[in-house]
Amino acid sequence: MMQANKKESILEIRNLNKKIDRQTVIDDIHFSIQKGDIYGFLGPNGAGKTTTLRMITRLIFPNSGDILIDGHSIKNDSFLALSRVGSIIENPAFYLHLTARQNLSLSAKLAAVKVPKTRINEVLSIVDLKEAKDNKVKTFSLGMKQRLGIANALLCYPSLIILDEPTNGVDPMGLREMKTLIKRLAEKEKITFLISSHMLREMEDLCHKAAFIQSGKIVEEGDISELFRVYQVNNLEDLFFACIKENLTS
Amino acid sequence: MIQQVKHDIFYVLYNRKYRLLILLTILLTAGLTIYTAVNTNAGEDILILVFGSFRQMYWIICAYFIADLLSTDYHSQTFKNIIPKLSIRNHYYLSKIIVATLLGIVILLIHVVTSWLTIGSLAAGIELNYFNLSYFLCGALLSLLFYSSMLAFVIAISGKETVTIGVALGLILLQALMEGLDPVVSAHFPTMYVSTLHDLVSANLLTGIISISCYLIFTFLLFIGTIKIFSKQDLFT
Amino acid sequence: MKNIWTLTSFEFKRMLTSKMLLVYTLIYAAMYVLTGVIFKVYGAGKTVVAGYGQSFPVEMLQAGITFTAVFVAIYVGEILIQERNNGTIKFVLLRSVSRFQYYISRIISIFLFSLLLTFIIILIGYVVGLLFFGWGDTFVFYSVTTSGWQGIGVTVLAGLAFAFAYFIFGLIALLVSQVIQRIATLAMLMGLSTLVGQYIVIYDQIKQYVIYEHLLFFHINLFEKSISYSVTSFGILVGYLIVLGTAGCFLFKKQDLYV
Repeated sequence: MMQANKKESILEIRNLNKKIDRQTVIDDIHFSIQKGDIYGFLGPNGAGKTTTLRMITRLIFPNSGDILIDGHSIKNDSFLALSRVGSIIENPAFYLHLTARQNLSLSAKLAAVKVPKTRINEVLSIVDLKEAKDNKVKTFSLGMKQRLGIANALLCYPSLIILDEPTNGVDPMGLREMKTLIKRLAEKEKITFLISSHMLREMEDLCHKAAFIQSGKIVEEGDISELFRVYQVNNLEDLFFACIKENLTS
Repeated sequence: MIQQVKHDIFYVLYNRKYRLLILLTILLTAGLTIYTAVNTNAGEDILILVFGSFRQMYWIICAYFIADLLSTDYHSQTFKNIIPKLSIRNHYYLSKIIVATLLGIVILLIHVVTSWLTIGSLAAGIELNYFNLSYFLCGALLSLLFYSSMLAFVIAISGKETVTIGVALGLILLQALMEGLDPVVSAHFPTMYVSTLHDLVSANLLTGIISISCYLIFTFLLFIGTIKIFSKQDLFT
Repeated sequence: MKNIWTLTSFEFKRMLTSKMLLVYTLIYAAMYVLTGVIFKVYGAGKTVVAGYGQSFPVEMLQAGITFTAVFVAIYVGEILIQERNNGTIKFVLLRSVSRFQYYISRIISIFLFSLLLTFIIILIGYVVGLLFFGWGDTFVFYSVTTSGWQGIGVTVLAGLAFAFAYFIFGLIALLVSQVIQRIATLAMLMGLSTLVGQYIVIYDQIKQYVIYEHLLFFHINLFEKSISYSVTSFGILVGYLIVLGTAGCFLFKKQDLYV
């Protein structure tokens, strides 16, 4: 596995382990993500992607190992570590009886950094929800909720955004816009993205680097173009199957 | 319809909390029976006294499982898996009401058997009085059907699990407070019907018939109201 | 501190506009009106009230033990179990809100709910009491006989004691709710516990340490027993608060949230 440069890493996962009901679901995984990366986190269903992302965001706790965000350990310094992280885990959750704007307003009040009121309109415009800002979230489609989730993740000027299956329910137009948005935010605002998804074609367009996880273990990790060369493939789908298959047969 | 009844029965059978509910019924009954046997001098009426103490708890348990059965698809957002399989939406609540009523009767029988066995093991051979079982079960059937239909109506209107459980438990407790006041009035309360139906009918057949008819009519009206609302309702879950 | 304030005020606003509060108000109103009707029809012997509008609210507080317990449990379910089930707990926790802050905001919300519920009960009591009995010239509550503002003072003091006992009961529900998935289950268990709890309080040696005794009598004992007894009871409730608050918070901080 290729080693990432520690000095520039924004997220560092160190020997993470998690057991659920005595079953090991995350088995000693470690990888790091550098600032400005769009990092894919790929694997089959039940591989441990969401569990890892939940551990990064402290929704669940590892049995051992540590996670460093911008140099701060989430074990000892979770407030600082998570203060500049935006995320959607599994599916975006909102108060359905409130409007999109009211949800974001509440979210802004709970943020570690001061969020000006104009920022709410700004992020709603970014995800193209400005027209629907005063509609109750219960009337939103799944795709609209995903976009609102991204707006919420962007709200507090994050340096790292974690997206778990962000393309669920998003239409082809929205998908294209989301890809452009992620690329733009990574390039211009130097926001780092950690994205877990099954949409390999979309991920291939977006990601520079990726980790492949299977049965709770990282089976391959590194620069995607480098991995194409090593595995002698020319697209992410083939690379995915090559990594997963190799691990199955070994 | 049969598919939906099967589905609801399996939901009850495979749900651990319903097994715990039965265990709770057995433990409460055994505890109350022993407590009553030790602390009172009820003689041959002891089982009636035990049921008197258990009755409020029984209705709280009933309110719980009726509300739980009715609200499970609201809670788990599983309407989309259930409704498309039904030929008519009306079957949905009909099945829930039937299964809830049957479960209530099963729990009542478990109480009867447990209290009887507990007393039997404490004092074998003692002669005991009990309610007339056919009226006892008929009272349970009518009151459970009525209560289930009423809660189905509440959930169809409100669409909220919390409102349903609040109304379910609130009305049980309201009856519990009021039932000691005037036996003539409280004999008709759903929470009292199990033990009072026989007396009602034997004291005055006409009053008994009117009371039973009222139960049947109100149950029917509530059910019709429920299905009228539900059949036109947009389900976003 | 800012986060606790934001979460608590959000919950308080939600509480004020919830359908459940309306249901509670209607049920209490029905209970109080029925008590008034029964008093008028059957006389004082059939009810717990003496027939004075000014003392009706405080006399009726005890009548609703299981009601109030169930309603507190349902509220606790709404602010923790429902947040977990709907996933909105992660909406909050994925921001810079620590679990400690979140749990403290729940505790404060329960306290505010207990106060609000007691306020509603007392208000309904005054309205129904005035309608059925008029204000009257005497305030009678166990051995306390007074009138006017002093009576209102006794009612407020008893109400605060009543609310405090139910707040502690709410903390038990909050602790239990961490291992329960459905609001209905929590409400049923807490409601049943009050019925079973009434059997425990017959044992004189332990009853002062049992929460159910305080749900029933804390607001009465304040006027009927010695000061040292009331101080001890208050101390016991504070002890409950510290133990339940700490244990609940510790559990919550360690809990994996699969939301």
